[in-house]
Amino acid sequence: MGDLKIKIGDMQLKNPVMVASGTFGYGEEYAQLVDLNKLGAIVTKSITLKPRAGNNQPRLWETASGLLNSIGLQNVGLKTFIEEKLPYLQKYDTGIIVSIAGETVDEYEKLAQALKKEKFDALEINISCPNVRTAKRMLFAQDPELARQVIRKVRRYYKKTVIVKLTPNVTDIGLIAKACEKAGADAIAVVNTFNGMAVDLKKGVPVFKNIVAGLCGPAIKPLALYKVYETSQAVRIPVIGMGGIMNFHDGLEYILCGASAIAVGAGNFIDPQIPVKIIKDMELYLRENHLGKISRLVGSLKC
Amino acid sequence: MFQDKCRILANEPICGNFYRLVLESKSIAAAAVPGQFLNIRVEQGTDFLLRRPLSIHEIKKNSVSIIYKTVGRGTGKLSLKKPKESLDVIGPLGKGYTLSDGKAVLVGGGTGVASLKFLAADLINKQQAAVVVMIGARTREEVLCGNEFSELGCKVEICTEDGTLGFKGMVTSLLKQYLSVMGAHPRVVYACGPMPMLKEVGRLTSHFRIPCEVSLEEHMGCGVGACMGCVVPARNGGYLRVCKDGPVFDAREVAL
Ligand SMILES: Cc1cc2nc3c(=O)[nH]c(=O)nc-3n(C[C@H](O)[C@H](O)[C@H](O)COP(=O)(O)OP(=O)(O)OC[C@H]3O[C@@H](n4cnc5c(N)ncnc54)[C@H](O)[C@@H]3O)c2cc1C
Ligand SMILES: Cc1cc2nc3c(=O)[nH]c(=O)nc-3n(C[C@H](O)[C@H](O)[C@H](O)COP(=O)(O)O)c2cc1C
Ligand code: FES
Repeated sequence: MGDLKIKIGDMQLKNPVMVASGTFGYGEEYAQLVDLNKLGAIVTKSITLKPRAGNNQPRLWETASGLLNSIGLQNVGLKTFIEEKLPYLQKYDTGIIVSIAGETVDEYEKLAQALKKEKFDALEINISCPNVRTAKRMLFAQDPELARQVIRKVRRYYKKTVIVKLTPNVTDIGLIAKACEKAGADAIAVVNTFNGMAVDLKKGVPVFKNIVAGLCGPAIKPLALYKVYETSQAVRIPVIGMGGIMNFHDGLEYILCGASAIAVGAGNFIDPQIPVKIIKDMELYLRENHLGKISRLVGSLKC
Repeated sequence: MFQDKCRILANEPICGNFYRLVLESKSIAAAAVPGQFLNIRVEQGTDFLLRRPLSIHEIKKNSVSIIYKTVGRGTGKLSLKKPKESLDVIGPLGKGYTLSDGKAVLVGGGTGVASLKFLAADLINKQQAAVVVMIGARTREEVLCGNEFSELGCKVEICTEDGTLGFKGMVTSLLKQYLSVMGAHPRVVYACGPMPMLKEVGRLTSHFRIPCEVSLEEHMGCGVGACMGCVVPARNGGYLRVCKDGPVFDAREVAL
């Protein structure tokens, strides 16, 4: 039997395959199609203090091997999340990772404070959503000092596992990751979407009202893989890798490049069975190659 | 909601760029209600191509059919699929029409006509409703399903923009004429078609104070309500998901 178990911070997971924030709702939307008990962890849609309506349409645009999105963090808000969404997920035997997003350090702090007593496995701090405008148009994940401030504040209240989700839209992701590690993060999730845009040629206007949108899917895989590699070289804490993962081989590339766990995002839209298939193939691979533990493969790239 | 590998029983052109696809699936056929849709994976393998949402046109005991127009990459590839190949299908998805009894008017434009056939069949067979169908098309060759509706026992009114068949003009002009006649009041109007048509149907039914349901389209990601990608503005603020809260909405719920 291959051993798929992994540990990130204090969080024990039965396998390293997650579904990425924003692509799997609050889990229940997929429950009729996917056996949620099989998943390593579900990262829920980023929640904000108050419910958010999100951006104007259009919000999605298919590109060559990819997808641009401009959702604008539409979510039910903290209160409904705690009252309705979290209890639903707690019925399942899967890791629950709650993603939070805010526009100010204060908002992250309040979210952490409100969530500290709830039952789930880890908090993912999304400081990298490209689809919400903050006053400065600078993301927390684009400045080591801003990132540090958010993590410090969250850490004050939240003592269990803290994951920080970073944007690839920076020159040196290692620098940001190091700042997060120093500020007390237990793990780094890379990547959120790459900045991109599309043009409506008929009208001569940008497809998205915000102009910029976030690119994901296989189109970004080589780019994301390198960001994961750079991050894992820079920090000692575990890295959760994602970007265009469609099958086990994609996932294995991330693991070799230093990811302790992987997440499937837009792949779920194409085939909701992808995460479960990856888990099955991973186990088979370990068994056939007599590799024992998946954790032994992490960062095993021969350079 | 199921995810099924469905065998293709037929996939043939019906007229112009319109095709009829018949898929084998007992489970989907048994669960489907009019107005719901299927989310079809056109391409297997690891290529990234989003599923294509297509409305259910008709169900039989073991099969589900749809009518689609080839407009781009996905529907183009779909039209090349041969019988006996299979497609990965998720469905039935979304919220369908509310069936009403009494007199109903169905207004369809373009491929929107397709989903109204399933609705008309249920209205007549399950509700003993009197159904009038108004079919709008650009030109004679693109008039869809006229005979199918007649065979079901619907009164069929055809409208072409170029006047090559039936009433000349927009299908909404015909609806306006119809609703203006005293005593013609249907209990409900159902509409599926392009946005400008739905807007006008919404305006007319609100003016004549007739309940109206419209079926909407938006680009989709997940198709199951998870990604918030397919929204339309709600009349009372905020957004509604076409894939989960719709595709069929009360015309007063959405800002058309
Ligand atoms: C609920 C619902 C029911 C539908 N029912 C039918 C039907 O019965 N018959 C039919 O012919 N068409 C129907 N459509 C429209 C159909 O989904 C699009 O024509 C199809 O997705 C176009 O794909 P493409 O690759 O050929 O076009 P492309 O333009 O190449 O597609 C690019 C992307 O845009 C999306 N897209 C393009 N046009 C539409 C559209 N109108 N609605 C939603 N997404 C779109 C595609 O899915 C794809 O992601 C329906 C749409 C929805 C939302
Ligand atoms: C529709 C959509 C919504 C997303 N929403 C969020 C979100 O709320 N929070 C977040 O951290 N990432 C969000 N993401 C980013 C994904 O979690 C993931 O980082 C990214 O899509 C790259 O992975 P992929 O290529 O496998 O999709 C979203 C992505 C998509 C496509
Ligand atoms: S397509 Fe994802 S919510 Fe509708």
